[in-house]
Amino acid sequence: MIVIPEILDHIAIYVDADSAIACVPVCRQWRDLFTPYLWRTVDTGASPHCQIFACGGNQRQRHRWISALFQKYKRHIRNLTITNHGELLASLENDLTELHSLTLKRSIVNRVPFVDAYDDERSVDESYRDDNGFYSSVLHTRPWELAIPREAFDQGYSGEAALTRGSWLLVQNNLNLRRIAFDSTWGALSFKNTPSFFGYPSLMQSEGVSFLTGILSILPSLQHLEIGSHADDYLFANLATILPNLESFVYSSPTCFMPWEILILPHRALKRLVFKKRISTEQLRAIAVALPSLIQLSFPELHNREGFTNMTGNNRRDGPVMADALECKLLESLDITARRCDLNGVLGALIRFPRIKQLDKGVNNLHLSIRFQQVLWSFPSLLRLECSAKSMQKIIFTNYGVFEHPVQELVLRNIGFVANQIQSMFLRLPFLVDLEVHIYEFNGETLLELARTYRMLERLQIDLQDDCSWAMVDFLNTCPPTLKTFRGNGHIALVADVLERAEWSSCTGLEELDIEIFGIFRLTNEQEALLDNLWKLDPSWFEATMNAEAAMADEEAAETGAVEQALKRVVQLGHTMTAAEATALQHRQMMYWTQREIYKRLGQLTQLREIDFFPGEFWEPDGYPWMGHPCTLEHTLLSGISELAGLVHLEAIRFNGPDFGAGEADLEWMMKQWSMTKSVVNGRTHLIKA
Amino acid sequence: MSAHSQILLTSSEGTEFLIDRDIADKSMLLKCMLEDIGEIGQAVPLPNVSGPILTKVIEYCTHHRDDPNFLSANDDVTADIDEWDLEYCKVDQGTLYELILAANYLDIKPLMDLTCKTVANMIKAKSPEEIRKTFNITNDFTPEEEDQVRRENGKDWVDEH
Repeated sequence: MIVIPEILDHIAIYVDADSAIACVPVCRQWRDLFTPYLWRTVDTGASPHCQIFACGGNQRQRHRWISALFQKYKRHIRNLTITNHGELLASLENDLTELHSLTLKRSIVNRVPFVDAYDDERSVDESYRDDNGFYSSVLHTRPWELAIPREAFDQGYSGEAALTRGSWLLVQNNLNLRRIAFDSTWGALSFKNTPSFFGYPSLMQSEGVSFLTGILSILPSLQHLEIGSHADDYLFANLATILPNLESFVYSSPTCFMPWEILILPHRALKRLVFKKRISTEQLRAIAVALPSLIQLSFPELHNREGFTNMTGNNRRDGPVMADALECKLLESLDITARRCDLNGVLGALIRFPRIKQLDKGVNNLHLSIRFQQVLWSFPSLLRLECSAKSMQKIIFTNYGVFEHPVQELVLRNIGFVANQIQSMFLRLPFLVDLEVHIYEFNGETLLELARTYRMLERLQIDLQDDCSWAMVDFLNTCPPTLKTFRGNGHIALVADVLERAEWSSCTGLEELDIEIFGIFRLTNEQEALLDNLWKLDPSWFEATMNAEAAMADEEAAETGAVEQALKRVVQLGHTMTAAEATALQHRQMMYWTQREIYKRLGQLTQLREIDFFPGEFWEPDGYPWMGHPCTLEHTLLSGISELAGLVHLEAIRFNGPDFGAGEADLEWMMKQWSMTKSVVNGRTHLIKA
Repeated sequence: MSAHSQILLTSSEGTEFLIDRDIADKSMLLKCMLEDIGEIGQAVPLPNVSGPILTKVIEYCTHHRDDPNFLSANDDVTADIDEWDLEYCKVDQGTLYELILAANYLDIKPLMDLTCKTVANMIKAKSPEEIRKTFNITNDFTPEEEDQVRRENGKDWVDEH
């Protein structure tokens, strides 16, 4: 048993809040030790504290309960996230003064009508006078006029006003704050600004300016700031003078700062910057120059719904950038919704980001060769580039200066119409790891060329022309061992081609495969009828003969042996086997033998998670004698589906037709084998792991 | 001081271990001691560490011998433990606690972090009763205290009663 407190203390560092909640009731020593860890970070809207605070009563009772807990544990609380008025009230009542981080946001689950109590400040006064509540105990003793100047803020209804006042009072009480975040959902009043005029930014009124500078000047440890409330323009332009040591800033109001303003007062310490609204290319260029320490830049919620073709901010004088290229030397992370509009804005700003190694969300709709080049120019150190063309547009590869570029992994998705560029692609993109092409059918030669050229390929989704069976089989023998996914339509493999060639060796890493097996030996209707008659003589004997799994081990012996056996048996039964019956028997055996051989090959792909037989439209190749029966794989135990039993990772099997080939018993076997459930989608059977 | 000099350590039962100086330097205790008094030429006694545990500690230090990030290796509280370390920590509880004590005594921070992280992982997703069982702890709360703790914890540990 661990008893030494220092060691327990060290262990506690690694215990997450949810586990700490189970550690507190263990014993007295553990309670004393883990309680501070449980209460250091309190997020009233998230586990575990939302459960701790849920006392089952009405809002007033919940408020009292939270207040009591805050009172008891307030000396431990450092990081506080508040999600409604009652919790703000409780924090103020209990004089929380040791906070390092304060986040104010409204959570959806916690959105309670507590605010109604503030609809009229006088009624709040009345209702809370007896409760020693918000209005009487806090706001009366700290007059609004002295603590927070009312005229610094816009008008709003009294609930909002109380909320704003309370929030700022809490900030004022906590002089060690390192982090302040007013989320836009919080609903605090905006600072009063003069209206913006012809694209020029609005100006904050002097009351607001003196209040903000005053309150921020008493917070020397502040590192992260998100206020919104229409204070961002003023704050950002004056950040270097107001908070020269700030490391992180969230710009949540519409981005109206003038580029020259921050160029005059550059901020040397800022490392992280988030813009929640559009910014212009000129603003972006100003940032690149004025914030030399920036390592992380995010545009998490950009929505250019208005149809801007550029990353245009509210600043209307955002002409084309004529200036020289800039370099953002330290920036390591650029978080951007890489849609065309936003990306074009970044590319148009002519800034190089030499330290960015990847664009998180990929690049969508990159349909111009010039943009392709620009991406590589702007991000010269990209290791992996994901490009997805919107609605299957084409990517043009001409002029692509690959040889000067270190991209190690290239992903091209959703591409259509590549026909005339395929050949030039081969030379230029040796590091392609993922290729997805639509509206184009590859021929066999090209498929094998893909296998030869792209030895790092992990995912390939392409359609094949009709006559590619030989190439399909050769591809499975020669594909890069890295290949995990091979999907698409027309992946036809004829049985003859499969059996003629060596066993599959290269493709054993495949996890997803679309394959259509054709050319299975079929019986004519007459032969089926003959065998039906034999079956009627002695069903159990007949089925045993056909299901001779063990006899299949030696193909020659199995064939002749079974037929000889059958001959003997029918003689015993007083029946003389005709030549036609013997041939039918032989054909039936051969049919099952070939299918079992195919299943054996598939059974070697031990990593397989998904297999789709027959993803395309039904197709019957010409030149096979037994028309009328589809000459594809049956998914039955008789035909050897049990050879797949070794595929332990299998999660999904799909095949054409609701009952194609497979009977009740076969389906049941498959569902039991991989714990799958069956559904029928668009006339196709899907077996998916439950 | 040559880079290849060796140090002799004696475990609690008197077993001697000859190790390279750079491995001994992974322990802040030994490093400071050797820097302060120089190489004394005789065995350094470690009365708080048994032979088998010292073997394990040396195994750890030897594996991480050329690790450039040795001192900051396990700083990230949320980071996953790497494969070798994970395998290394697959020992019985008694050994694990002795390892913690040895790491604490010898002042090898990354080993201390690793072993404590392992214990923290053992706590994860357990109920208080399961934790008591795992660590052989007696519940010393009075019924009133227990009631209060349960109320303030927001979770009724139904499984206990």
